Amino acid sequence: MEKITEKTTIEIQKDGYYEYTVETIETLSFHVLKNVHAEIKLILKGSLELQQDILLEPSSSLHMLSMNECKDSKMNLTYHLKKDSELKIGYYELNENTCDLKAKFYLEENGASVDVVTTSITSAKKIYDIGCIHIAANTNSNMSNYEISKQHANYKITACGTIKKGAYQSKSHQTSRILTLHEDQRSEAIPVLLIDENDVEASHANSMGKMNAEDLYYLQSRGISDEQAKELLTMSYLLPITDVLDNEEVNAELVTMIRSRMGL
Amino acid sequence: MRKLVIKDLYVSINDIQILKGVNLEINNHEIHALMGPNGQGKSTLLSAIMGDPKYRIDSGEIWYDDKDVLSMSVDERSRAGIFLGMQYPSEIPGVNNSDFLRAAMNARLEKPISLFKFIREMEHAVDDLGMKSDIAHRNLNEGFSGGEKKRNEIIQMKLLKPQFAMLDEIDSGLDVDALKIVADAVQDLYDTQDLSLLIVSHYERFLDLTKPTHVHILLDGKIVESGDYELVSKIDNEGYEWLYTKYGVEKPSEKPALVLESCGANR
Repeated sequence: MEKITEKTTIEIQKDGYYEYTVETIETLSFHVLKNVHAEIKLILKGSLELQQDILLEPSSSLHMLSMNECKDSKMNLTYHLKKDSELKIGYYELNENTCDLKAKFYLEENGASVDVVTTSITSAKKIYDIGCIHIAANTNSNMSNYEISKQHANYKITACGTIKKGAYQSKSHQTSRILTLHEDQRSEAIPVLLIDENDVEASHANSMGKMNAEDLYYLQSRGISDEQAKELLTMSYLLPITDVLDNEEVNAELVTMIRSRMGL
Repeated sequence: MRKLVIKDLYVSINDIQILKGVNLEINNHEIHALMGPNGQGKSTLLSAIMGDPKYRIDSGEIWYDDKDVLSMSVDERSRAGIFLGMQYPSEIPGVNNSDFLRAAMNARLEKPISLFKFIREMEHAVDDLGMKSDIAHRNLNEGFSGGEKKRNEIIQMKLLKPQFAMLDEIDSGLDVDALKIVADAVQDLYDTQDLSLLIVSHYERFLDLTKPTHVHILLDGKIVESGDYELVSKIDNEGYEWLYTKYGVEKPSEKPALVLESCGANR
C-alpha cells in the first residue's frame, strides 16, 4: 500500500487495483486515463483538510472506496466525468469523529454515469453536501445515503441533483435512509432536485426513524436476542458499501469487518 | 413431557378485549386446528403465545414444558421450542435471508453451525419447499410474493426445528400445488420429529392434508366447541352460522361498502 504524504497528482495509466493511505496533505488529484478501468481503496488518516480533484477521461471507469478513519476531517471533493466514463464511489465512516464533506460530481459529457454510496455511523457532528450536476445529455446519477445516528449525533445531509439545460434524457435518483438509535440526537436530510430540462427522470426518497417494532419482533420470534436483532437491522445500513468494489478479497474483508462488529 | 397449557387467558389490543377466557391444553405430538369466523381472536391467541408486543395480556396463564411463558421474552420463547409461522411476515430490507437464518440457528446452539453444514441444510429446505435457490441471498421477505413468504416461514420452521409450532393461515395465498408442498413439508416434520402443532386455517383442504387430532372453534374470544376431525367437515358443510345462534353471539355486522358518489377530479 502506497502512503501519500505530499501534494500529488496520481495518474492511473493501467487497469488494476490500487491502495493508498493519505495523511496530512492538502491536495490530492487522481487522473484516470482514457479506456482505463481502475479500482482504488483510499484510507484517510489523521486530521485532514483535503482538496481532492478527480478526472475520468472518456470511456474510463473508476470504482473507489474511501474509508475515512480521520480524527476530524474537512474535505472538498470535485469529480469531472467525461464521455461514457463510469464512476462508482463509496464513502465509509464508522468513526465517532467530526466530518465536513462536500462532493460535487460534474457529468460533463454524454453518457457519463456516477453511483454514490455513503454509509456512516455518527455520534458527533457530520455534514455532508453531495451534488450531482448533469451538464451533458444521457447522463446518470444515483445517490444512496445510509446513516445511523447514535447519541449526540448531529448529522445533516444535503443531496442535490441538478439537471442543466441540454442534459436531456438524463436520470438523477437519490435515496437517504437514516436510522436513529437515541432520543438525544439531531438528524436532517435535505433532498433537492433542480431541473432545467424536459425529457428527464428524477426521484428522491427519504426515510428516517427508529427501528421498526414489528421487524424486531419478527427477528426475535426466531430466537434472535433483542441486541442481536438490532445489530442485524443496523447491518442493513452498512452492507451496501461492500458492493462498490469488484475486488472480492477487499469486499470479503469489509463484510467480515462489519459482521464481526455485529457479532455474527 | 412437553405440554402447552393455557388457563383463562384474557388479551386485549388498543383497549379492545379480544380474548375473554381461553383455556386450552396441547399435549406432545398432537395437531390442533383452531377454526372460527374472522375477527374472533384466532390470530390474537397465536400472537399472545409468541409474545407479540402489540397485544396486552390482561390476565391468565400460559405454560409450556412447565415453564411460565408469559414471563419469557419473545426470543426466549423461540429458543424454548415455540414457533409461529406468521400470517403476514415482515419484509426486512437489508437483512439477508441466510444471515438471518444462520443467526437464528446459532441462537439455539452452543457451538455455531459450520458454514458448510448450514448451506447444505438450507439448500435441502429450499429444495423441499420448491423454491429457487437464490432465496438464500435475497433480503428477508423483501419483494417476495404472498406464497413465497409463506413458504419461507416453513423453511425457517424446518431449520429451527421447534417442538411446538403454530401456523397462522399459512395456507392463504398459496395455490393448490403450493398448498400440497407446504402441507407435505409440515406433515413430514410432524412424522419425523417430536412436534406438536396449532394450526389456524379456513380451508378444509389444508386440514384434510394435515389431519388434526383435535379441532377447536373460537367464538367471541372463547373456545366454544372442541372435537375431532368431524368438526372440520361440519364447518365445511354448514359454515359458522349455527354457532351464533347456539351461543347467542351477535354476528359481526358487515361493513357497507364505501360508495364514491362523485369523484372530485370529474367535477
